[in-house]
Amino acid sequence: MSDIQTLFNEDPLNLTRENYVEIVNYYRHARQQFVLGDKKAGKAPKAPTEKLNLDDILSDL
Amino acid sequence: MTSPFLVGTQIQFAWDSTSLGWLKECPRKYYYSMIEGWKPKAEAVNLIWGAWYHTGLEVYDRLRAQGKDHDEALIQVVAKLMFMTWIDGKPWKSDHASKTRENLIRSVIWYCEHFKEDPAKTVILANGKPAVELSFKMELDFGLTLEQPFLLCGHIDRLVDYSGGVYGTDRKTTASTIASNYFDQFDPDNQMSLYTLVSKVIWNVPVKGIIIDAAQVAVGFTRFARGFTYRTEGQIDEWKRGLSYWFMQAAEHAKKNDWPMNDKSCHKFGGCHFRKVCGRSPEVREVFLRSDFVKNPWNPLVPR
Repeated sequence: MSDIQTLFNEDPLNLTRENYVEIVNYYRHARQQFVLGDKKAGKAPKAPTEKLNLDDILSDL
Repeated sequence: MTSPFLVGTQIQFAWDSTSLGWLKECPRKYYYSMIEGWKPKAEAVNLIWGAWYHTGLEVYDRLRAQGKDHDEALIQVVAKLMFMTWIDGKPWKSDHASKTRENLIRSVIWYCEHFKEDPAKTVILANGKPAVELSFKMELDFGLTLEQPFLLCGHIDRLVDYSGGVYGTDRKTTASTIASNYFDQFDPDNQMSLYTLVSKVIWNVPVKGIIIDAAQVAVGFTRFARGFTYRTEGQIDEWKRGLSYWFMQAAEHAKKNDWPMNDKSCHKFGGCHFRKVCGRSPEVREVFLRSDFVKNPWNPLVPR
């Protein structure tokens, strides 16, 4: 597995088909991570829930 | 190279959506951009990056239309872009934060992945070729001389079959977040009306409108959104009738060599490039033009 930046700094004439596959897979994986993060970011966080105790509420009245 | 102007004049006969858009915004902007050919120095990176982005997606579309599968097409596109952006023995270096070589490759791969199962399928033209990157020149039935009618010119990214209708497509890039109202700017819109008109006339296809695939190119991600803009026959006829008004306006300005500013347009769309020039006294404007702009004449007759 080559470092992606090494591939970008290499003369394209020296890159093999496998190198191009690596580049595609690198960005494909990056996109999957991004989409995953985007979906998580899109969901509103659950509001913390707390059980109510009716005795406590009535005692304040 | 053929000039888009009538011989010996500044009267334009070959128009595209870009030059017509400049004129509609402001005669002075049209003068600086089209007649004098000034372009902001900073725009060069955006132009070349945008051209590569379009090329990458065009190659992908062609390969898919030829029967190559998604993975193979992507590998070939990446290889092509890596070669195109290897300049003078080294990788192309950008002075732009997000329009970089790496982000170009990322954006093209992400686009193809995003629209991998795209229901919009490239139309195959009567000549058997895929309707991709279509350069056009369409003669209008009027002109200022008998020999030279007005022409409408340009490039359409693709014609697609989508959900039982035919659409032109156009790809846009932006640095901003694509909000829900992003696509409102295309309805009405000069470029999209022109594309719908010529698609109907030149390729004889009953085009319903244009599909716009917008990409927000940021430093760490590229995000996509698709919008539609529709045109009825009535809208297209109305837009076409308006052309003679604008072409005559341009001819009148050219005859008088008088290019008034539309100073209500200066601050729209993020502000006109020439705002700082026009804001100066007339005798010093040339100095400001020469410092911040380069001459790079625009010619609608040049195919992409």
